[in-house]
Amino acid sequence: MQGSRIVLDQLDKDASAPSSARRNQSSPPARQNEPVAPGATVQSSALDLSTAPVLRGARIVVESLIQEGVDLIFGYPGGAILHVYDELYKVQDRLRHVLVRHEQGAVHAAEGYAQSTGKVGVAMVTSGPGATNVVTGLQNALMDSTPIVVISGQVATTLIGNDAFQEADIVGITRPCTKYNYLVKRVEDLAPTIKEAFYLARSGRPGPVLIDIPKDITANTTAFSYPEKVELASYKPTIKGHPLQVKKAVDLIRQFDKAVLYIGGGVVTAGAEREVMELSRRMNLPVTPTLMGLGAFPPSDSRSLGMLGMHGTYTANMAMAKADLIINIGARFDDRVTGRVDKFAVNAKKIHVDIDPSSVNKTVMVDVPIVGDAKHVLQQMLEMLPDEKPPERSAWWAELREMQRRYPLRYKDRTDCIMPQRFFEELASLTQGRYICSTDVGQHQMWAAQYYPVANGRNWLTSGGLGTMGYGLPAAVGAALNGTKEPVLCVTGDGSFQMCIQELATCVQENLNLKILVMNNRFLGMVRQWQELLYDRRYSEVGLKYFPDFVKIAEAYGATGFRAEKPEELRAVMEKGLNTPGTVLMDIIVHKETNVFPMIPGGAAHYEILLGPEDDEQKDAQPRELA
Amino acid sequence: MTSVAPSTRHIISILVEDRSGELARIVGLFSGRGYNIDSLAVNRSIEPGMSRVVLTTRGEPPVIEQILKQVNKLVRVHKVRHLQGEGHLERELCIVTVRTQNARAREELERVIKLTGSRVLAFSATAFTVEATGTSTDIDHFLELIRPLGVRDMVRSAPIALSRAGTEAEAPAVEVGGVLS
Repeated sequence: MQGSRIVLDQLDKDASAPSSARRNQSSPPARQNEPVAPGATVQSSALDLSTAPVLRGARIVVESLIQEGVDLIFGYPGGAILHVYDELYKVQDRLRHVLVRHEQGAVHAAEGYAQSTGKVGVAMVTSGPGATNVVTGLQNALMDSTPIVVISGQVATTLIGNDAFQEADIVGITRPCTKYNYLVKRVEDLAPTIKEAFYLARSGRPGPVLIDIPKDITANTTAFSYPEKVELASYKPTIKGHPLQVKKAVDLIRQFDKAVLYIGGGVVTAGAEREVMELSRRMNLPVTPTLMGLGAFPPSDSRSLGMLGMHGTYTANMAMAKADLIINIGARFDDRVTGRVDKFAVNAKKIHVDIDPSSVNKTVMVDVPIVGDAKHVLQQMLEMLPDEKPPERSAWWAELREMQRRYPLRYKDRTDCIMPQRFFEELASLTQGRYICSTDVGQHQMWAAQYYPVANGRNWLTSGGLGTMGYGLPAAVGAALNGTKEPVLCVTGDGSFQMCIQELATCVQENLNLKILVMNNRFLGMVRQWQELLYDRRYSEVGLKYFPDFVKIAEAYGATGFRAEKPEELRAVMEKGLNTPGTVLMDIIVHKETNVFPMIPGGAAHYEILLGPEDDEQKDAQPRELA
Repeated sequence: MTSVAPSTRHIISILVEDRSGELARIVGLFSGRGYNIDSLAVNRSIEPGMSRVVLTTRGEPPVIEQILKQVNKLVRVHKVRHLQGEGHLERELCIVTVRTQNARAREELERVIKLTGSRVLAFSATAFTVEATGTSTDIDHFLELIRPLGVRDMVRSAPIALSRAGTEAEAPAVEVGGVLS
């Protein structure tokens, strides 16, 4: 075992919870978005060295987590993090650890937990390969602004830089894929670092934070007292919008008729769903959510246009193209939404509300930028908009309704095989969208986004920014452990599922009420679709020539497996699967070469929308260009 | 968003906590997002525990706006200042060794030194080492004059820059999380 020869294990001087720990347990963790005063870096809670218990670093780690309000972590042990796992063993009743089967799974599970609860998710891994395996998850969390803290073991400080066994410069590796990261070099810094890490993860634009802890630091001892608050003079997220900017925005909303409310994941993070609804209602605004904003506005509401973007609805995208005012709340003009950026909504005035100043004017220049928290800014807007008779916008709505009538989401059903869209319609009808649903990445993800009526934003777990195949199953694991009594759905594809398939063991180990639906088309479907449409059907390495029997795999792991191959058995199989207790896998064999439509090809303008074959005959002549 | 054509040079002054890895964060941000660093100077600042980073970069205004915002977003960066126009003073140091094989060469060098206000640091029978300070453009001109004399070795520092006394308040700065309009 590397590292352990450096420092002999210290005696655990206080195995019970320290008195100061108990005292502080009642004080809740600092609330997200709470403005802080400038000043010293970290304020200790009146540290009285004479009474503060002296603990070793490993114990400080777990006590700090407990005081932070963490009751569940995901992880995988190893040499450099052994001291901490020894302490986890002792606090099992207060801090639950779920053993995953791969470190990537630990991070995605922490993300699924965080996204479904709004709390910070925590993962713990060892040094070297354990730590390098978290990179994908960190970047995923960075791009989707998910608050997580990852604690990694590191070789002892005396060995750092020596190419020691299982050493990796993980702070260097993860610098660009974390919001912030730390290498803790003194045991005295442990508690303040953990406090600060959680604060950074959850505040402002949330994101991933990594704490790298060398093995000797977890063995050294110091007086422990968990800081009560963090004060970072150089980090002060702007919460309230500038009143003059808010006024300008409100004036534009009053003035312009053809307006669209374009909402993203920031609405879910800020918990601003009610304010969005209120703004839409008071000003009679059509609403289109991004992939990350699904569930932030009820899809059943008459003012919802459905998702926008590359595979968004025709109406949502054309509304953006024809609008004279775009109100962006907590979205970031992602390239999957804008298409060719120089042709994006050229005639529209644009308002952009974002808590991250660097998101503003990054890709699309806007007329009224407002830096602030979506909920606060929307409340400021609503204060200036009395609840009176909403504007009619009758010509605009007539135009939108006509587009909705002519180009709804549609497909031709078949009797000889299961159409993927049919499968998603059945899922929607069986669940009414009330369960948490995670997805992987690809065609199934887009159909799920189009057809699954997400009831609220915290119920929708998907890898939006990074597009991480393999995210779905571990994210569902994290969500299923968040205390929910309902089943959690994991919609995946035959490609994505195999990227983190090992987490089936975690599902069964924890007896999770998880329903995995594999949309199985025996293809890497989305890549195949691009090759069909853009590369003259030259199918390069997208046909899974060998694919395992997923039902048998489920059974081998101790889960239950069902399969549906024919349309007439689809509903019955899904009903049975959803009503069978425990972890259930449903292998849904669907039509192999169905494409996701509508589609805005990469590099095309956002109005150059490809529709399915059913729509082509009656479609207006639109400029077409495939990039 | 990065421009290929050479565009205006911008000086950015950053006040950052003196902690291990913080410079790497700034430099990594530039390479990771495809921005270019023309020059980089780092040293202690007047405030304890803080380093001053002065770097020059190129880009069209939207790129510079993004750079300022991205740097400002770094957790341990306290202040970002965009120094431009007449509002700042700039100095770069250049040390150059010139061959002086004969009296004529020495005379020629003496003339250049006088003309440019540079200073002799060391000399031998065959060479003089001279230091010059000025703006980057001044140094360019100095080198143009001295190059024909036979330069044996040359080193120049990154420029450092400061707001002109009294203009601090008016100097354009990125407010932390401020509204940009």
